[in-house]
Amino acid sequence: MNNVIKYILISIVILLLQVLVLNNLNIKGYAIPFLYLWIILRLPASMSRILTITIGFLIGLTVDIFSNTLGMHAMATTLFAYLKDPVTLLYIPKEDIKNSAISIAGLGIAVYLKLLLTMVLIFCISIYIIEAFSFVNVFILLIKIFTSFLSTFILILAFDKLNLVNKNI
Amino acid sequence: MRKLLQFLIKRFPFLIFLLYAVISIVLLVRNNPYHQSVYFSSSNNFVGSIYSFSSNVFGYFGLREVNQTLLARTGQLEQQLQALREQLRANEYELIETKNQIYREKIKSKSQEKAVKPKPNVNILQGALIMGETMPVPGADSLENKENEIWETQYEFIMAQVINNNISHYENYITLNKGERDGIKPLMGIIGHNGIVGIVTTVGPKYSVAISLLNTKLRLSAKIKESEYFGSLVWKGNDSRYAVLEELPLHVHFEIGDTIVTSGYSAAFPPGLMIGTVEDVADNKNDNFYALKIRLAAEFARLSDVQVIVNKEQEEQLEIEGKAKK
Repeated sequence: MNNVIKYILISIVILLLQVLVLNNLNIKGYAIPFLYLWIILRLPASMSRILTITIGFLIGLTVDIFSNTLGMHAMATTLFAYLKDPVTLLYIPKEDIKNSAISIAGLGIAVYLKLLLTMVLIFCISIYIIEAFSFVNVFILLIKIFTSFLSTFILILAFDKLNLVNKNI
Repeated sequence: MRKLLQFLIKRFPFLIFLLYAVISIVLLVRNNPYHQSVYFSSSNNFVGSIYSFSSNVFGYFGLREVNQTLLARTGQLEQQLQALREQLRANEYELIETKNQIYREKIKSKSQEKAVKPKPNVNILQGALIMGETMPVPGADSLENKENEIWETQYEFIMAQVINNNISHYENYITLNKGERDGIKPLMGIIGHNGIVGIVTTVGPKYSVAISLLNTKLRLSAKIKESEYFGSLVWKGNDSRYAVLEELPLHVHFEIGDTIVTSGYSAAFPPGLMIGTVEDVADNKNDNFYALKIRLAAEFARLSDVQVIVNKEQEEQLEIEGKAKK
C-alpha cells in the first residue's frame, strides 16, 4: 500500500515536471523528452488492461489540458497503454509476465532496454504523426521523432537508475 | 448470444482503446483555436494557478535580459519623445506665426474699414500673442488633432504576464495571468516589448489563453511600412524566429531590412504596430505573388510581460463585418 501512495506521489511530481519544465525545454527547437511515459510504463503487468488504458488516456488528457493540445497526447498515450502488454509479450514468456514488475530489476537490463526502446519509439512516431496530421514536412518530422525519442529514452533510463520506487509494485 | 458475449469480453480492452481513440480524435478535430473550452485549456483556474506559481519561481531567471530589453525600449521611447517634442515646438511656432498673420490681417482690414480707432480688445489680443499663448484657430489643425484623439480614446492597454508559452508545436499557445475579471475578452491583440505576439482566444475568470503568432492556424494581415502594400503573415512551423509574409503582389517594391507592421484591417491590432523586418525572399509555390521571409521582432523564446490591447470599437467593427459577410 505504501508503495502505491509513493507511486502516485512520484507520478504527480513527474507530471508537474513534464508540463512546467520538459515541455518548454525543446532542445534546439525539436526534442521534447516525454518523461511522463514512465508512469504508464511502470504500471504493473498484472493490472487489468482496461484500467491501464484508462489511466493512459487520463494522463495524456492532463498533459493536453496543460499544453493546449487537446487530443494529441491523449491519443498517443492511449495507443501506448494499449500496446504495452502485447509488446511486453514479445520479449518475455506469458507465464513470467504476471510476476515481474516492468523495471530493470524485474526484467533484467537487456529485456528492459529492448522494451523501453520499442515503446518509446512507437510513442514518438505516433505523437508526431498525430501532430503533423495536416502539415507535412517529412525531414523536420523525422528530426523531431528521432531527437525526442533519444532524449526520452535517456531520461527515462536515468530516472530508473534513481531507484525511487521499490522493485515490485 | 453467449459467443457474442465471450467475444466482447475477450475483445474488451480493444473496445476500450477504440472508445478513447475516438474521443481523442473528436477532440483533435474539433480543436478550433477560437472555440476552445475554458475547462479543457490552460485558461482554467487550476492549470492557471499552477503555471502562475511556476512562473513566479522561474520568472526570476530571465530578469536580467528582461531588464536589458526594457532599458533599450525606454531609451528608444525617450528618443522618440524628444523628437516629437521638438516637432511639436516647431509646429507651435509655425502655428503662432500663422495665427499672428491671420489676426494681423483681420486687424488691418478692420482698422481700414473703420479707420477711426482700434478696438480695445485688439491690444489684449496682441498681448496674448506676444506671450505665446495659443488661441483656438478653427480649421487649422483640427484634422490632425482628431486623429490623435481617436488613437488616445479608442485603444487602451492592460498589462499582463506570460505564465506559459510554448514554441515547439505547430500550434502554439500562450497563457496569460489576466482574465475576464481584469477586462480581457477574446480577439484582443497582444504586444510584447518589441512587437506583436498573438491574439487572445479563450478567456477564463482569472487566466486566459492566446493563440501565438507561432501557430500555423493564425493568419494575420500585415503590410510593408514604406509601401503600404499588404499581405498575409503565417508561421511555417519550423523556426521560432521567422515567419512568412504571403500573397504580396509582384509589383511591390521592397528592400531587405524593410519594416513590416500591422495593417489595421483586423480589429485586434491598430495599424502600424511592429511585426518584424524583411530578411529574405522565401520559396513560393504560387508564382503570382511574392512571399517574404520575415524576422519577427518579438522574441518568442523568452516572453515575460506583455500588453493586451483593448479596442473600444472592436465590437462594433466585428458586428458590421459579420453583417457584411452574411
